Amino acid sequence: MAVHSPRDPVKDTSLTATSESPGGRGQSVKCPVLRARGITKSYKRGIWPRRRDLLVLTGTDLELCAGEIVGLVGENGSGKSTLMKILVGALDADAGTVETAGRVGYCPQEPLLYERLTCEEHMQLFGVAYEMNADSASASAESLYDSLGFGRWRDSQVVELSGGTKAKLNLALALLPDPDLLLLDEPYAGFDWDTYQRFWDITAQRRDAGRSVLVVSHFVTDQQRFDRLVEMRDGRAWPR
Amino acid sequence: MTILIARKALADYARRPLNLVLLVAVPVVMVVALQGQLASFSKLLSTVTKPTHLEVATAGWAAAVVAGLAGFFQVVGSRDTDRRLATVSGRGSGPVVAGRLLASAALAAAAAAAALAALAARGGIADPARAVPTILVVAVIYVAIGVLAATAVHSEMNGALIVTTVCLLDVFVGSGLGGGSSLVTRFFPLHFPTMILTSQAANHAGPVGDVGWTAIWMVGLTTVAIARLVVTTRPSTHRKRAQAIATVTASATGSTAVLPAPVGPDSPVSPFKAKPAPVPATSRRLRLPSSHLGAGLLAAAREYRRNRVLWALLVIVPVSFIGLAAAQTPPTPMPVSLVDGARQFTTMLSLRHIHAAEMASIATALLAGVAGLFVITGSASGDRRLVLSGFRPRQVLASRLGVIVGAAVLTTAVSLTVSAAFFSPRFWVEYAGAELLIALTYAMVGVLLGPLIGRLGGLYLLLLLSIVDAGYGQTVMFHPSPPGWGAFLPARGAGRLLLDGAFTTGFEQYGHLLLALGWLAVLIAAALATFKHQTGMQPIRHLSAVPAGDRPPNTNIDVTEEKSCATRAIPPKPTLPA
Ligand SMILES: Nc1ncnc2c1ncn2[C@@H]1O[C@H](COP(=O)(O)OP(=O)(O)OP(=O)(O)O)[C@@H](O)[C@H]1O
Ligand SMILES: [Mg+2]
Repeated sequence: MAVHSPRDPVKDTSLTATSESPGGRGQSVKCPVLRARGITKSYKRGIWPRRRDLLVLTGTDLELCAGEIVGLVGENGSGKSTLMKILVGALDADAGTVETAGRVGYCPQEPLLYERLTCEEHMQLFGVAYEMNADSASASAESLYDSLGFGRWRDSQVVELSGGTKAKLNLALALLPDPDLLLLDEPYAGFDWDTYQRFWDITAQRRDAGRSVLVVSHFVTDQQRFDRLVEMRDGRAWPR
Repeated sequence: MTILIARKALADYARRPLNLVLLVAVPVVMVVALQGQLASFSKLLSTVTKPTHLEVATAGWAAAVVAGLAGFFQVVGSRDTDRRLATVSGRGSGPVVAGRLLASAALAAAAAAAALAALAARGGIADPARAVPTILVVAVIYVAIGVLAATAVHSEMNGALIVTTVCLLDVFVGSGLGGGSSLVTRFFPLHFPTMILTSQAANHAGPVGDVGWTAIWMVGLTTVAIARLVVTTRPSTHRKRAQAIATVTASATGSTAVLPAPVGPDSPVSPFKAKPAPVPATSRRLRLPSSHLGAGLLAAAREYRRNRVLWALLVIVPVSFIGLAAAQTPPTPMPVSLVDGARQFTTMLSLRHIHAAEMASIATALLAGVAGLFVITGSASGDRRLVLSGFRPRQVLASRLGVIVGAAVLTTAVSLTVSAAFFSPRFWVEYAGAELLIALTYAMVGVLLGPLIGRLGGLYLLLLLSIVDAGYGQTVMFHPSPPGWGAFLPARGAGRLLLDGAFTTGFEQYGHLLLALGWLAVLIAAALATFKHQTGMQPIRHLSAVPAGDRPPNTNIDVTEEKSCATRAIPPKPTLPA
């Protein structure tokens, strides 16, 4: 196996700084950490000659500050996932600007995973993707196995996992690098109650550490968990 | 419900307009363009038949190819949904299976109609009473084969490989081209139908007769396919517990407002409880290297290493295809023009040797192409996420190419070994290199086609290209030099190298080597551009709120890389409503 090479020391320092003293960074990261302006998006649907545009976003503005948990609500099909994808750069908007500060972690609505790789291999691969050093990646992975409670599936391939465990891995890959900004698209669909509670514990910890979280949610019963709610309606984001 | 399922299946096929275009184009190309080549080929093998007869047979094969793949993709993509439908409907698998059968019948009819239309356009159908029903039967046989494959495999790639292999064997080794005499080919599904189409009487049909055997094949395969469909869509009855879980899951995600039951591994009803993975000691677990490229390559390799059937197919397919084709070819001497030293000359070569060499290139082209097509499409969504997390598209592509090149090398090595059983090339390195070049070129064709037109369309095109280009575009079996039009296709350079390496000792083909490398380079560039376009991250501007020094250097938003960042603001399109 390839020997793990020591990382660039400069990178290492800042990495530690990121994970250990977020408060210090809080001085510079104020508001906003995410700023989206005038996002429009339409999908092309159908086959010619019955091709038509479906307008989903009509000029969405959204801002997120450091240390905020914001809930993104709205009917099915109101464009929440579309907005998320544009914010993270997975989809191109027709118009508008997106600006972000720091690292972004994204948890897609559908688990996007490799069927024949194990949980552990996913963690390692994405650890490399985020340019984390091997030790901090594995430490972060261990704590996620622990807090989300799927450690005993670490060596199972994704095809063998239950839906809920897939969702856990899907979320864990977004949390792995402890990003400054978390964009979570219905992350807890399929979680059991315990895991659901632990998810909110993790989120609260992140907030206290100055991270920002944008969560697509349908459970408005959990309103008190959010600092504020934003509703998608008519292709725009409205405060609620 | 039956009608609904059938309509949905057909709409799904037509969703990509290209599939419809290819439904017509495949038979037209096979009948119009290949018929002449096939005719000379079949004459060489001193088998069949009048050209018109062979034309009809070609139409039959075209229908088989189109119908087989259409049937396969129709069923393979909807197995789980079908089972779920059967479970929730409470009426068993009957209506669902009937729907699939209806759709399959329609696809078979469409394939047969397209083939017959191509035949009619080419110069009329000489003997409609013979051709129309037989081609229809051929299409039905192949839809059944496609459905069977779809119910048997887990991976789309493996199933597609099986269906195309059966097709190729039937066409190139079967009774039309290979001659009806061989014992092995009598067991091919299209053996007797081809006998009917080419107006030959098989003298081994016995009292049942050619028509009888054809009917037996059709009825037999259809019955088995239906039985398999019923088994794979039937709600399980022998395990009460499993059914209970299936119902819970189905109703929870269905339209009813039942809350999802907790089906995590820790929940009491978990179907996965039985199999907790053993946790190996940490030291035994392999670590991925820390470089992007290294980790990507290793992860991709591990992922595909676990698809054992694929690697088995990559060995079995060339062995059976090349072996059978060459074994059937008589060692008749043929004039072929070659270059040795500075001198061009025409020499007599054994037809069997040429055929073995050329079948090897068709087989490697097709298999490597399929590997490229399915590997690149199989992981597309995961790859996008990897790019969002910090990989560069070219690093991800390189990781996938590692697996694809592995598949290409394996199938090339097997093809070489098999063809070596029939003749020994004069200049091994050149011969093997040429074969590998063909494989890599077609692997890149697959990688390019996958994101552009998807699996079904890509597979149709790969089949056509590997036969038209690697096969007939570069062949020297009919004339001392290959056809002129073949010079514009990707396999020309490597095809010439192949012959040169096989039959001359020196190496002079610098021009053709350059041509082959040029094609490869262009295809790699095009594939990379397509992959970047599909997988690449949209540029996002970095907020200045974080002073540059404070920002973690490992952010996945790279301002320096994306030059267009500052200008991401796109003016609104005029078509947007106020
Ligand atoms: N790739 C696509 N092509 C065409 N239309 C699409 C595509 N993706 C989404 N849409 C349409 O855009 C609209 C918004 O979809 P989106 O997924 O953003 O909704 P959502 O708010 O996330 O809904 P949900 O709560 O169900 O997740 C929907 O009408 C959907 O049908
Ligand atoms: Mg959504």
